[in-house]
Amino acid sequence: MDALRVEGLTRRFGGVVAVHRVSLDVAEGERRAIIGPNGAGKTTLFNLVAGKLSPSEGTIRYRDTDITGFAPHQRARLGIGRTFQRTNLFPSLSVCENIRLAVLAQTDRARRILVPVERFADVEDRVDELLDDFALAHRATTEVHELSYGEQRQLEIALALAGRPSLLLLDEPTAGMSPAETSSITEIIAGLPREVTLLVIEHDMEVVFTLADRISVLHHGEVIAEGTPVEVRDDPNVVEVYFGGAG
Amino acid sequence: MTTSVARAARRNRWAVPALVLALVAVPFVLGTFEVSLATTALIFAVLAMSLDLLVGYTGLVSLGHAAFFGFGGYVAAYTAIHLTGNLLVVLPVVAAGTALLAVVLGFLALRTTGVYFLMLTLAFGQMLFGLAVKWTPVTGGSDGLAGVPAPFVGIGPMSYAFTGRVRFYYLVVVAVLALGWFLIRVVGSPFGHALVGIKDNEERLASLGYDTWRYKMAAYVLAGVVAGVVGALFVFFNRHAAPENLFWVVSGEVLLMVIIGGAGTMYGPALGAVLVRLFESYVSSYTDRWQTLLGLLFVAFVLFAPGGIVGVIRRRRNRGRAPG
Repeated sequence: MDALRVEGLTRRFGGVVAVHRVSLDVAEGERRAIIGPNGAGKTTLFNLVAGKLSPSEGTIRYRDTDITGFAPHQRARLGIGRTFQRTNLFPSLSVCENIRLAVLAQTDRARRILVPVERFADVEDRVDELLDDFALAHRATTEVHELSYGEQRQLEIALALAGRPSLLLLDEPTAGMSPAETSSITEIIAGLPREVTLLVIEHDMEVVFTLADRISVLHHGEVIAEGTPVEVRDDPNVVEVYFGGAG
Repeated sequence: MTTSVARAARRNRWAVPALVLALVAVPFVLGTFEVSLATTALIFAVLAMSLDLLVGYTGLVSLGHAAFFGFGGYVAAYTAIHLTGNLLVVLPVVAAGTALLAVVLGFLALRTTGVYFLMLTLAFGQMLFGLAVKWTPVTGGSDGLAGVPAPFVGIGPMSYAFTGRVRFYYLVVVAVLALGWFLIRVVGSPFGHALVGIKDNEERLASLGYDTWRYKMAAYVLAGVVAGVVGALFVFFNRHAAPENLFWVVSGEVLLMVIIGGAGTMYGPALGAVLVRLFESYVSSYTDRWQTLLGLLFVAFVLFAPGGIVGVIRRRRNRGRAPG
């Protein structure tokens, strides 16, 4: 069974076609990288899968459920987690409160209105676990605007993982990071359970080659190549897009 | 894990007993005028807290909170005059009525955010004000509903009436402590944190799995119901439901209380409300230009202390803690 099956997906913004008849089959547990030059439609594709945008045409199926018309929070509750290209956190809450909010999201306790938020032992355990996994324990009570950029990116991914998604969309997880931060984030992502299906947009080819089982190359909103890292690297179309005729 | 909330609670261990003691002592130490002033100040304190649930926590700046305050008052007056002044009947009716109003208004207003939300809430408030002035058979028109009986609780000979300023004051103290406690619990709950999440970053909260629209609606209804209940108390205090209670000036004044006190906390707006009521009461006895002065006070806060009174207190405390 495919974790994600995208068929004939098109999204137009006025006269501009950002994503054009994209079809993708991502198997359960697969790690798929989406690469392509800037403006290729990668983030638009993500926003379509996560539900922030609705497609002009085409369907999106997640584990045999047609989710094309689902709102973002409904997709999240089905197990689709995502991170954002620009860091996207809750700046007036502390690190620990950010993570707790994300953990609570997938429980029925998020709606409790008279119980102190830190009252649920299993939630707190999961919060502590994530703080440890992302080396943020010593920053637990820090407000997020005081974190370094790298720490904010780590928290960004921690939030997406809090609800134990089965499909995780990572939009440039290492963007703007130092080489040391990049390798530590790559290690964290590589260490995720294999059941988690990954869809990663990434510009850093080293990260892509470390993580990806397969790669889809997007150019002008269309998939121009798909295959294993080695196949894609040797694909003449890809070489053309990346290295030739750049003018 | 020790949270900031738990630490604050320990630090302020004596705050609640001291507050309760001070409130109980007011009629013993102060005169009738001050008791009345304290009564309205407490009512506005909770009104400001309920508005802050929207403004400071959820990030929904409403300029129409008087709609619930005034509407709750009219429902209370109408019920008390035509049915019974028994609070055990009146208050549930008020709560149900304002909840219904909030669902209807929220259904429309919550489709917008920012300045559009502000303008829509303002418009709804003014529509209700217009309705109250024009629908004379029900609302008493511009005279409002006079002759509201004293509220009571209990049945027949077992009932207790809140006649007299002091008895009513204690009723308000009990209601204010209960509602204040309720609101403080709400903002410390998972639901309350989700509201802050909406203010900070609604898109991200939705991507985590929160149906943010429902949370906003719930916050809007909660804030509306609390405002309606204190609006009912205000009408029982005056024994009169006046259309002015629905007027946008009341909404503006409550928003001012929230901002002067410090949005995003519960005790800030309560402090702001008390301060503004005291200011109005005392400064207006010296000068007719007290509104100008209040305006200047507001401008000064926005420019020099955007976090309100609470922001000033926090900064001083942090400075005290800084090493060296």
